[in-house]
Amino acid sequence: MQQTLSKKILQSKSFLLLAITAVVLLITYIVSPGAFNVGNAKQILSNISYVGIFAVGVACLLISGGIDFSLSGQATFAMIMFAQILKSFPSLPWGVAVLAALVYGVIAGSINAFFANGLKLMSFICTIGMSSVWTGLATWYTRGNIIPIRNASFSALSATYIGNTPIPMLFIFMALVVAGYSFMLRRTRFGRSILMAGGNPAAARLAGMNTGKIKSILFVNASVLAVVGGLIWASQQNVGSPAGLLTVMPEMTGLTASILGGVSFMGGSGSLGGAFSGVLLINVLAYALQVMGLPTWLITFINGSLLVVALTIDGYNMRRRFRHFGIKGGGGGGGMVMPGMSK
Amino acid sequence: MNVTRVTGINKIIRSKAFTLFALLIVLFVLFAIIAPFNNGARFITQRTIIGILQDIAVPAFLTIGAGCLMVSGAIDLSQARIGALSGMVVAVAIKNWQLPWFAAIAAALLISALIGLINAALVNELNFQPFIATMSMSSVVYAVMYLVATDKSGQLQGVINYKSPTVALIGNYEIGGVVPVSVVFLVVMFIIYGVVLSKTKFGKTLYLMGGNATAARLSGINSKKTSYFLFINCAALSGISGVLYSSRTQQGSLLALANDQFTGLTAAILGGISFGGGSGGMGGAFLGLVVIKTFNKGMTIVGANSYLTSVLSGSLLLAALSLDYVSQRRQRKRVGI
Repeated sequence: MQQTLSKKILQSKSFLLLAITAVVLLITYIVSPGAFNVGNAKQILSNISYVGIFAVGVACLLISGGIDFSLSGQATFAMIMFAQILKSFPSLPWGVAVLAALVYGVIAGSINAFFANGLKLMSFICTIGMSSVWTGLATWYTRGNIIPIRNASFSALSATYIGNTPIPMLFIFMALVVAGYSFMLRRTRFGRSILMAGGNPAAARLAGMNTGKIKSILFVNASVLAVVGGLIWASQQNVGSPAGLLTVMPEMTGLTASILGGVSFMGGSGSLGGAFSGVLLINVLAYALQVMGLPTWLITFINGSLLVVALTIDGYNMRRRFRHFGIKGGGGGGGMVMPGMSK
Repeated sequence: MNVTRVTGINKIIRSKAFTLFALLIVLFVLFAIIAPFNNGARFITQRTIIGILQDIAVPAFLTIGAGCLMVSGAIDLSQARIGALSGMVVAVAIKNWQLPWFAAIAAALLISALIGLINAALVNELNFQPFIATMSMSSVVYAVMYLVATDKSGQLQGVINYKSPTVALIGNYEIGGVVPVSVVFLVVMFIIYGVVLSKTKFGKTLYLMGGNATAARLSGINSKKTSYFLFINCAALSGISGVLYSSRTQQGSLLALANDQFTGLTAAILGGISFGGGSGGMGGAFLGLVVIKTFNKGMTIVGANSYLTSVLSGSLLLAALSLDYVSQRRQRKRVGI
C-alpha cells in the first residue's frame, strides 16, 4: 500500500500530539491570554531542554525492551558530585567536573546493565533498588542540603538565548541530540538492531545479534544522557540539590512521553520524534493547567493519569495489531510479562 | 528422572527458613559485639527485641499482601501510597468530618480496597502490566491524597494531626505492658494467610497461577476472579498498615510509609517468594521481614546515619534479588535444565 507523504504525516503520532498541544495552547489563550509572555515561554522551553534529554535515553532503552527507574537518582548523584567538585576546587575549569560526572554516568549505567543483563534480573525492579541507593547516598552526603554552584560561565550556559527570542541555547542543543539519535535509530545499522532486539529478541539472536550487548550499551547511554540532563538542570538552578529532580521525576515524564509518542511499552517500535512531541505536550499541558488556576490536586491527578491514558492507547493499538495478524492477545490473570523478562 | 529425595536433616538445612534463621543469629551476634563500641550501647535487651517487633508491625501487612500477589505472579507498587492515603483518611475523618473512630477506619479501609479494585481492573480488563498499572496508580493516589489533605481555605496540609485515644490504643496498647497488641495481630494474620496459602485449595490455585498461568487457565481456574481478589486484598492490607502508622503517630502524613515502600517486596523475595511467582510462603516472608528490621535496628543502635537507611534498603532489595537468582539457577541445574 503506497501512502502519500502528506497522508503519512497526518496519520503519525507526532502530528496528533502536536495538534493536541496546539489545542491546549489555544484553550489557554482563550482562558488567560495574559499567560502568553516571554517569561513563561522561557520557562517551558528551559524545562523541555532537560526533560527532552532524559526522554531520548528512556525512549531508546524502552525500544530495546529495557526500562530504568534510577535515572533521576543518577542525575541527582551526578549533580551533587559536580557541585562538590566545583566547590572544592574553584580554580578547576567546569569541563573537568562535567567529565567526572559523565564517567560516573557510565559506571552507574554499567551497574544497571550488570544486574539487568548479567544476572538477568528484571530491569524495572533492580533499577528501583539502585534508585534508592543513589538518592540515599546523595542525601546522606549533603545531609539534605543543597550545594550552591558559583561558576559564572557554567550558569551562563542556561542563561544564553538565541538572539532576542525566548529560545535557550540549550534547547537547540537538546534538539540536536534528539535529531542525532533519531537519525541513528532510523538510518544506521545499530539503530535498526535496537528495534529488532526489542521487537523480537529471539529472532535477533538467531540473526547473530548480541542483544545483551545492545541493551547494555543503551543502559549506559540512558545514564549518560540522564547525567547531561541533570547538569542542565543544575545550570538552570545554580545548585546541586539532593531533592530537586526527585520531585519532578524527569524519567517518568520521559516514559509517559515516549509511550504517548508511540514507543511501545514492550519494546520494538517507536520513534524519537513521537517521544519528543510527547515531552512537548506534557510540559505545555502542565503549564497550562497551572496558569488556568486549577487546584493542585487536580493538576497532580491529570499528570498522574496521563501514563494510564497513554498505556491504554498503547495496549489498544497492540491488540488491534495482533488481531490484524490473527493472534489473540493474552487473557487476564495478571501474569507478569515485562521488559527484560522471559525473552 | 533421577531427582533424589532430600530428607531429614538435609531438607532442613537446605530450606530458605533455615538460611534466614542462621542469618538472623549472625546479625544478632554481630550487632551484640559491635554495639558496645558506640558509647557502650547494648543490642540484646528487651527494649531492642520489642522495638524490632514494633517496627515489624506496620510493614507486616504490606508483606502479607505483596507476598500473596507475588506468589500468583503479580506485583503492587502502590502499597505505600495506599497506606499513606488510608492514614490520611483516618486523620481527616476524625478531625474534620467528626466521624467516630470505627467509621473512620472503615472508610479508610474501604477507600484502600477501592483502589485495589481499580488496580485489578487495569490489569485484568485493560491488560496493563501489574507493575506499571500500580506504579501509575501510585501517582494518582498521591493526587487523591492532595485532595483529602486540602482544607476548606484551599491550603494543602502535608501533615494532619488528630487526637483519638481509642485509635492510639490500636497501635500502642501492650498486653501486660510487654507485648504490643499489634504484634499479636500481625502474627495471627501471618498464620492465617500462611495456612490458607499452604493448606487450602485456594492457596494451591495461587501457586499454579504463578507457576504456569496458561496451565492454570486451561485447568479451569478462574484466574481473573482470583487476581481481583488478590489486588483488593493487597490494597486493603496496605490500608491496615496505614491505619496502624496513623494510630502510632496520631497524624495523617503525605510521606507516611515512604520508608517502607519496598520493605514488603524485599521481605517476600528474601523469604523465598520468587519474583516470577509460583514458590515461597508466608513463613519465609515473615523471617525475611524480621531480618530486614533487625538489620535496620542494629544499624541505628551502632550509630549509622539515618540518611543511609534508603541506601541500605535499596542494597538489601538488590541482594535479595541476586540471591533469588543464584538459588533459582542452582535449582535448575539440579533438575538438569
